Amino acid sequence: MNRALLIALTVATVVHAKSMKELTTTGTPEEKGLAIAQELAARNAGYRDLGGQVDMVLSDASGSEARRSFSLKVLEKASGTDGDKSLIVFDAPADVKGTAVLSHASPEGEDEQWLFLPSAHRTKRISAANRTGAFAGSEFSFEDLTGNDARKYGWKYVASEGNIVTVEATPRDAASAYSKRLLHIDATEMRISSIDFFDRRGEKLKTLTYSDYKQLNEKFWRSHTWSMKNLQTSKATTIRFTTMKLGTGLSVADFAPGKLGN
Amino acid sequence: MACACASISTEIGGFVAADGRVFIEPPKYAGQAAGNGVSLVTEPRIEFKSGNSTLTLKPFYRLDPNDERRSHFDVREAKYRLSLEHFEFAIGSDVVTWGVLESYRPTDIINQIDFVDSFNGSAKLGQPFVELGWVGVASSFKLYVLPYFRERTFPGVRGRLRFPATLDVDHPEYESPLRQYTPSAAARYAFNFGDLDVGLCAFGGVSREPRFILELTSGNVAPRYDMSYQGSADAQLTLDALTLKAEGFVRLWTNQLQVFGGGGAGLDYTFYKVFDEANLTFAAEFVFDTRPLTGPITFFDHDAFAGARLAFNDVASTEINAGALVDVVDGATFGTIEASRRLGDHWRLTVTANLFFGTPGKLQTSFVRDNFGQLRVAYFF
Repeated sequence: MNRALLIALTVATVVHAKSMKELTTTGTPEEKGLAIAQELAARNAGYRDLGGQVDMVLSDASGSEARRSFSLKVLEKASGTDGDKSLIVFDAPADVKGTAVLSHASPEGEDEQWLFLPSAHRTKRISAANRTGAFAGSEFSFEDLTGNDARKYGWKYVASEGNIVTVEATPRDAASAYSKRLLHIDATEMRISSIDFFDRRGEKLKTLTYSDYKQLNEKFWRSHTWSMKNLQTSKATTIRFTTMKLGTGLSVADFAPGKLGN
Repeated sequence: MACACASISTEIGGFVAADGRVFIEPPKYAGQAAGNGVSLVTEPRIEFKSGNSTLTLKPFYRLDPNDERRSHFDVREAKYRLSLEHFEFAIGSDVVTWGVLESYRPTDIINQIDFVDSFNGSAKLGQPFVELGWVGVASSFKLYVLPYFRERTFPGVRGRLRFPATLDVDHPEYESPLRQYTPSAAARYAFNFGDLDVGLCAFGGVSREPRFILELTSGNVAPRYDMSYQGSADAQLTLDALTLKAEGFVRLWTNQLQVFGGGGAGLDYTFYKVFDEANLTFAAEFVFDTRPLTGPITFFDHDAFAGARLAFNDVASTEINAGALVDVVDGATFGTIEASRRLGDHWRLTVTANLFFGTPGKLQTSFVRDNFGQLRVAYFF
């Protein structure tokens, strides 16, 4: 898709937010799936940036828990060829306080990632190849946290049941940990209520439930609690935003590798 | 621990730790203590932030039962920073690291090594500085004025991990008549282009590496700090599982401007998820240095490094590191094995074994009887 067409599409969707009924009446399952994905993206677009504070609780089958907390900043992609930029700075556990992970996502190529280690006073470029690896020992992988760009998937409408519409997303990235994701969408406000992740053998691996939705800036519905359950190991991780603000006025300079540690 | 009191936010961090050391063999030199025992160390950090301004304080103190010189205080960080969109200004004291290699970074020059704290050069003394910087998205330029010189720390007579002669650190010599008040300056331009990160650096001022001078009047050996002017470059190419790294410098040494160079190159390769979420990284590096025999002594004149790191990526952030740096000419070797894991939310245990091999008679092999094991129990707050 060329850039002009993408911009035209974005403008069109801003002008007219489509209802789920409009999106699911005509077309093949693939066309309907893509239309829903684009509508989800369009409704999330234009928030500019996000600043938040996150508590993360990791638990295993025996019920023992570990805690992490970090601040999160996200800068929305500026154009169709760009990706989101994000900065995570850990507060806890105490031995990693100040450790920062900076990511520049790229919808086409490989993401760029830098790590700042305060104990070594060093900023290191790191490989973003391990997208399927666990984030800070949790049930979330980097792929789960950053892989929400609609362009990274093939889409297919699956079913509607009451108010819940299910679409299937097949990753274009052959290195993805998943064969597919099933998104369950609440049609009223076009909000994702949960996602089922299927491993490469086609077995259901994890379920992510989004809850505690709040409307920010009188427009954007954002979930403040994300619960990931691993169905194969019974481990779970809950991400809870204690604060989340949109449009805080961040600039691209806040996501420069040269600023890490300052 | 954060507090938002009248738009000033306060962050408190840092650690207090007990380092228990056991040396396997008795010491080599007269006057050395056995060196076994527990040393206490703390490095608290407090940060005040208001708008674009940040004030950071990070003092350091170690209490050592054996060597009075190893019991020492330092200000690792004490700085004010103004951070605007693309402009950076900072004044105070800090640690700045240059270079990309893992085993030893030949181009790293701004800070003095706290050698008495860590024989491998990983501990640095805070360097008084003024920084002016311009930071863009894919490039940055930083200029440092370094108005005061920090002398290298060395173990005392009773200390382990020392050279045959203890150094008369109270009577250092300088090439510059301004001695430790001789200003130095440094600059770094860094940019990234796709998978490639490059840094171009310059330094001029007092050499951080001393020569050792025999003082005929007292019979003592004193460190001498000559002038030094250096240009350097470092580059890293980050591919999927493979990272390629190189850094090198050309140095003009003393006011006679003797020329020598040095540097290194290496690669690391990571196997992801060797079991569960564990990643296994292998690293291989080579470092060299062409300095004249009359120059400051370096351990890293022609050395090869091989290392492995197993990061479990589990809840306790368990890690095992092993590496050996081998002089390819005489076989003198430093080997390290380290394992660490978190306990609960605030504790971290680290077990280290340090091994030295080599033929006696070289300065590099002064530590040949200093093989030791260390257990660090650290509480982070």
